[in-house]
Amino acid sequence: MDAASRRDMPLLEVEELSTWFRTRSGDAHAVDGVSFQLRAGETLGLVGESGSGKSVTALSLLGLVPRPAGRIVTGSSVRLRGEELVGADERRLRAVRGGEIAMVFQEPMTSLNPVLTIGRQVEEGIRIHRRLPANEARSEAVRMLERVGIPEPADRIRAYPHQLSGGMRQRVMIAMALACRPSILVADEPTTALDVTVQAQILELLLDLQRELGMAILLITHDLGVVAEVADRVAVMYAGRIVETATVEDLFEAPAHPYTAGLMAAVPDPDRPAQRLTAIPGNVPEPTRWPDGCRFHPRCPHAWERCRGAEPGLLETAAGGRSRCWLIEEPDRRLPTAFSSGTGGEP
Amino acid sequence: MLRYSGRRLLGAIPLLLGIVTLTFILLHLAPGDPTTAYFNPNIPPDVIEQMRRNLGLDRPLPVQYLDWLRSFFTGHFGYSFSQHRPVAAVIGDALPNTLLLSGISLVLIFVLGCAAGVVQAVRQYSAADQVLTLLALAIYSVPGFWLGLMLILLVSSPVLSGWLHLPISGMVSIDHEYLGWWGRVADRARHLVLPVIALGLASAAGVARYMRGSMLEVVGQDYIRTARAKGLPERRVILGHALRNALLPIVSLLGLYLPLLFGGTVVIEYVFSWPGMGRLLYNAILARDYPVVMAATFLFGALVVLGNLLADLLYAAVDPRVRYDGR
Amino acid sequence: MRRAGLLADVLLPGARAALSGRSGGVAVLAAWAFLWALSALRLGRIVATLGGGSADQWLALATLVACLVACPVAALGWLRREPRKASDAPAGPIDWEAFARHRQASIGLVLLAALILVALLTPYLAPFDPNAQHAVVATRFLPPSAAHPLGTDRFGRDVLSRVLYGARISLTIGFVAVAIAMTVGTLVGSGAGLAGGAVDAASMRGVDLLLSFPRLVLLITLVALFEPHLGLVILVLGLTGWMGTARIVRGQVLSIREEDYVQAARALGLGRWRILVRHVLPNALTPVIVAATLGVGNTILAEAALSFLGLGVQPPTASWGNMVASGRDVMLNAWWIAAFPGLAIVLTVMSFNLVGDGLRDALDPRHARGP
Repeated sequence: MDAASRRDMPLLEVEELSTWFRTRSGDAHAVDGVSFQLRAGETLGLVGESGSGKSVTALSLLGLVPRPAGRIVTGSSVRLRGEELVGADERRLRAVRGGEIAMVFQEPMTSLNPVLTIGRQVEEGIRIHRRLPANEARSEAVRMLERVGIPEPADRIRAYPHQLSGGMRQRVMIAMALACRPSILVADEPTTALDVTVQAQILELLLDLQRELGMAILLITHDLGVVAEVADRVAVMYAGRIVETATVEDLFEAPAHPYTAGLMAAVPDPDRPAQRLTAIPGNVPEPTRWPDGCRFHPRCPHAWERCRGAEPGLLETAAGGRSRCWLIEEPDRRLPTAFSSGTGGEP
Repeated sequence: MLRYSGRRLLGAIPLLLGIVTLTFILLHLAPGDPTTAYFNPNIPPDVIEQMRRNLGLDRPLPVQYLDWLRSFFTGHFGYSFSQHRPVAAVIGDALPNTLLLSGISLVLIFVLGCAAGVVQAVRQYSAADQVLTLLALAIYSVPGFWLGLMLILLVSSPVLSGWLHLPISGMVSIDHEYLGWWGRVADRARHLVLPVIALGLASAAGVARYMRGSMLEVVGQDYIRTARAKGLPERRVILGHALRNALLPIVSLLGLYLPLLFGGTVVIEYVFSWPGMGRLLYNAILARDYPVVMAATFLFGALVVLGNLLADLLYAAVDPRVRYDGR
Repeated sequence: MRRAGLLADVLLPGARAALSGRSGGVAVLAAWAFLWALSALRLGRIVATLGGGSADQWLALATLVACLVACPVAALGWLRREPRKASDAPAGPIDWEAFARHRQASIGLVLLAALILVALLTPYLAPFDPNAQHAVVATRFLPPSAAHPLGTDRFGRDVLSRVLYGARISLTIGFVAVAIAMTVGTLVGSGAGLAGGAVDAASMRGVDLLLSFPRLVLLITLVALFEPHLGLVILVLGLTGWMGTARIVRGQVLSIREEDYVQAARALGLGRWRILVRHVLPNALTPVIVAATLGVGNTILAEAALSFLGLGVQPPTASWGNMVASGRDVMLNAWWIAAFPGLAIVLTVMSFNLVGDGLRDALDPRHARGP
């Protein structure tokens, strides 16, 4: 492969990733044929409600799906710079975890080991991945803590997690994740458990670090506001599948998939405070029994027989994104409901 | 940390006082007194009366109680009827032996128990786990004295006695003084093997069960997921991260096992003729040697209280959340 | 077809269920076979009982008859029901289905039932009178054989019979002592929990104090100061085992006290005592049941140790503990005297522990599911 193609090659390619869980009532298809790509330096937002499979997708990338209940189904492919990670040797996976792909989790309260100092926890990764001796690892750790905005890092190094606030702990998590200079950061709801003011700071920090380190970010969230601020591209997940991908501008201007439109309509509009909130009718179905045909059809205002009969593929939209919806082929079937208009644009 | 220890220490004092008092009450509940042991129709009653006066048994109870309390400060616990020596000396001889036996047993209990528990948790539902679970339950149901006897039987059987020379009674061999330094250590060690196993095995099984549960719970925690996501080798995740957290509830469990441990010494020392406090108490009770019984009973209670105190301090030492919170 | 099925369930209860793979059916069928075999082999003794036997023997006969009746009843009723599906929610605080599925717990329950059955049927099961010395010199220290499956002791007494009678002693002591302990513990615990304040604090200090003594130390001190005899042994076992229950009950009372339905009862003007008995206790009782089950096992162990030391059940009454003690001196030549009673203790305590564990898992909403 020549230099030019290598440059164009996406950093991370996920193809037909499926992760299933054995439960008493059958197999739960938490992630069912998800495909996307991530390029160096870009931020992809993975959006969806709880139960859509986004967290499981993230865990699957690193092979961290809880076994024996969960398993990545054969046929799934996760390629990092062309190297296949599904089914790879455990030692290779360990090198990738933290070293190339790092992860930040949602709950800073419980994601840090309560009996080890934060210094120890940050240093650990550095020593394993970057093979630095103890004293160098220590100064690196201090430097990282400072970089993420922890005051008096040289002292805080000896602190225990319970002595820090939620926002501080999340910063420590980020420091821990980035200490080994990964090329990809997977952030699973990094700000959901934090106060609103702290949220903004953390997002700011993430963007800053991304610019500085040139890494790609896979940001998983249910919060469209966060996506709007931080992402370059967005993939919307529903019922274990990706139902729409688009650039962030296109997505917010004209969401193609009815589910995306529904998500946006559910967000209160500060310009129209008296407007009634429109929730998407119905509930997210059980992962053991995804609906036939288009998985969204039971809750979709535009649905017709075709939707019940067959599941659409990811069809290309006019703007260049993709949408898993028959409306792309039959746009006249789109009904003019408030649901479908989305925020911004239509009066 | 200092504040925490100080507080715990202070809290132990009323408990110790309670133990002293309770021991006194218990002993004086019984009908009869030490002189009944000597009761013999040939002895004229006024000699018995004299004996009672000598032993101070004719004074009113509150006075006797104060005497008993005072003895803790003077260190003079009276005189043993059956051994014709000061009680303090008798206890002084026996106590270290019991501490040695209990101490080594405690080590066995926790090392074996934790190791088994960790193995089970890491290989949950495997053949090893299921076998160990059933085995642990079976061993946990075994009475210590019977285990001791069966061990003696085993070791004395023609099959094993040929090559395995484990003593079945006493603390040291007859020729102990003539052995070199290393020989004496080995001699003591060999004498410890059977009693320690008999005393500790059942409790080790109990600890194994708890440890398994604790490890399983810890391994499901978020921070273990973080550790794995950092790419740490699994061994590091289990031993460095999970184990340290799983041990915390076990340390607080230590306190609960102490009464069982010390109670067990009574039977085990009897079975193996180990010259410790358990055997001392038993013989003293049979001989109605009240001063010794009182002192020994008190001491057992005190050992448990002190042991619990140490366990609490140990817990504070290993759990930073307690250490830096002052609670 | 139905009549044939009815007939099968009455004549060979459990057979049909066993054939369709239900382990409950196997258990019932085995019990049925065993009971009939016993009746046949011991027909003489049964007849003797009818002609005027001791209370013991009448109890055994009553048990035999009751169990014989219970088998076809079980086959016609319980074994015909559909087992509840795994995914449905449990009815009530104890998840009986989970308990039944818990393999170790079911084994424990079967063992326990068998044990109790054996204890009740002992007058028919035991081949010899436990105190019969036969021709002492000729029959003493006999190793296990067909005539004496577990051998004989120093007085020529049949060890198997003594072990069987020992079961009655141990189980009786265990159950009664635990009953005492549960009662005292529940009273103290609920009293402390309801009263609160200084009473609560003082009670709990008292409990801590008592828990600081090793149970065996308290036991031997108490028993030896008075004359050891059965009633005293049971009493002191009960009086040294209530503390754990008191703590559990107190904890439950404290938490349930704040629950909504209790507030509602109080708002309706119901008195404290009534609230305690009708509302608080039924809910608090479930962990107490677990503690009681495990407690019987521990009590049996404590009684065995006590008897071993000579301070519990006195010879010639056969208690497993004193049997082991009598076998100690001759252990190298007649190992069976000490070995078998101990084994009986292990099996008995194990079955209580299995059941207790199973109950605990069934009560815990987060019970870990096995393969």
